[in-house]
Amino acid sequence: MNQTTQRRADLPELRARAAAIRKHVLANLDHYLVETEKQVTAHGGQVVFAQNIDEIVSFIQLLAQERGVASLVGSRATEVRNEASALWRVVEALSSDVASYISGRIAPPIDAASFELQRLLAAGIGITGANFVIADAGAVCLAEGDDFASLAGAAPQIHIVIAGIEKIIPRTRDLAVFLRLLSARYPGHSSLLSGPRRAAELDGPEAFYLILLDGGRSAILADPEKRELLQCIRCGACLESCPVTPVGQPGALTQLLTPPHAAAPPVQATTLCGACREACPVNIDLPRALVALRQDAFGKAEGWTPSFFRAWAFVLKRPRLYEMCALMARAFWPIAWKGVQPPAKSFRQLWRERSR
Amino acid sequence: MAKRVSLFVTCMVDQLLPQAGMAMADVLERAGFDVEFREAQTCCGLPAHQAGCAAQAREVGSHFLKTFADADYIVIPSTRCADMLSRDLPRLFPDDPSARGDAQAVSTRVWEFSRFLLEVAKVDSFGARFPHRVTYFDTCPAPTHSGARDLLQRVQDLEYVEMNGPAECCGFGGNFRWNFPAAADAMTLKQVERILASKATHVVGLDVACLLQLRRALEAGNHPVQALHLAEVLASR
Ligand code: SF4
Repeated sequence: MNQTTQRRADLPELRARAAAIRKHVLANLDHYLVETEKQVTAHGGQVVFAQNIDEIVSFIQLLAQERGVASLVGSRATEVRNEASALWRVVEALSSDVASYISGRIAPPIDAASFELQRLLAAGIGITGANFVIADAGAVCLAEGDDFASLAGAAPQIHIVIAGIEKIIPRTRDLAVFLRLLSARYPGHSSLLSGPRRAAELDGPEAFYLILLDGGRSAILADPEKRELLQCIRCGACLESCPVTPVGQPGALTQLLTPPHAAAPPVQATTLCGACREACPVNIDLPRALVALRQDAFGKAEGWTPSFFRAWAFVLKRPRLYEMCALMARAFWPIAWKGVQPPAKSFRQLWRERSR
Repeated sequence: MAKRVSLFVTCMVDQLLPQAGMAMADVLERAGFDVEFREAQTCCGLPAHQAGCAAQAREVGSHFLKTFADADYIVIPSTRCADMLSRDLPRLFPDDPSARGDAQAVSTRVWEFSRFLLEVAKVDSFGARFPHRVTYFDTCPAPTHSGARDLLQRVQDLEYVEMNGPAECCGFGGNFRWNFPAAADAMTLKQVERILASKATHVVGLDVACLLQLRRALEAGNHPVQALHLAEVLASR
């Protein structure tokens, strides 16, 4: 048994529950968006809906201007000035957070006297990406496994959390399921943050903003072949299971998990073997989504491929024609399957002889 | 009355590995089934489906549905074609409820060979004898078909060995092999190394595509290991 099958065998019920919760949220996303906004507001925070990353960047810049804040810090990013291009990169990274898992780049703990910590404490605005947004608590969960994230959320005056609209989970207790699935792979702590600092609290920001990003997600939600992708909890298990990437060819899977603007490997770079589907803790049928990507690509394809498949289907719907063509094609197999000799007779020939 | 099974040998077995289809027929007959072969059958539509060409996958899929509309058990010597027919075909008719209904009905009667033996035929012994050292190559999608090991272990005189290291795809993947030959070969070689390390004389799989992919690499490396379909082992005496 390999690691993947072992992991899967360990936690089948947990996976089924996780998948059911994610499906439920996506089917009732309108409700949970409203609920989230209500609860975040009740805890003294503010929810901002953004269509794309540009909108987030201008929002942050404006906020920084209004508050007279010069220094910003983003979790995992080392240097952020109030500059659109730098901000864009940070926001992009935080909203497609699988990147850090792919590369295994999890920041080491921050040393108390370090330069980073000083800068962090001095920053006016801290920007983090949420792994989960908890509707009933109006809270966010940062499960990044690095101290930087939680400090960036707690130390600066203003805490801005960025999350895709699909990151919502209904209840705080659902976290138990998801953190277990995540921590099976990435041990590290997670922090639960909600709203700005209250009167009796020692630390925490003065203002708390949750930015919910659409960024094309509602379009994915409307597509039945891809909808499931939004169940993703960004654990990276699928990427780790992919047999294509280790041999030096970036696998098409990354295309599913990175935003459309990222440079992506071609959709053909997958054998559709299904290892990712087995690995996924929320039971996403990733090969099906990969085929959907290929269907998109095929719709735009030119050249000989569409005509080839038209001719191919024409033949395969006609058994006799198929048999004739196959007989002729026999001459080409030694080329296509170098080293493999075609058998002298086809199955149907053998079967006829046998029944005679 | 003996139960009727209908062979769907797939275009690849028909053309490239007919002996696997014949062996499958033998094993099923010996297990007490009436075996039929419908001459109208061709392909399941997988090559088009995998290429993202839904329209033609649908056409060829419909031909399959028509051919097997009244079959009781459709037994297939291929994991990928069985997967295509049971998992993907019904989804190819999102706007045609009647065709989708047909596809769903047929999909429940589609059986990959090893799973049919384990879950429907439930035969304990096939009277097979195969005095060799054999390993099983996890055919994708792997966990779904891992029961093939049990079947091998029921064969008389067969010495079963398990491979070490992670089971991964053989590198075939339809057009993947043609689009990324270097990556495909590297993947195949990794699996060939696992096979060689097991010191097995025969490697057994459930899909012709993988078997031919492995066979090519084994022959190219002059390794005297044979890649066989499970049916071929179960039919030998
Ligand atoms: S395994 Fe599933 S949940 Fe994890 S990153 Fe891949 S698609 Fe997302």
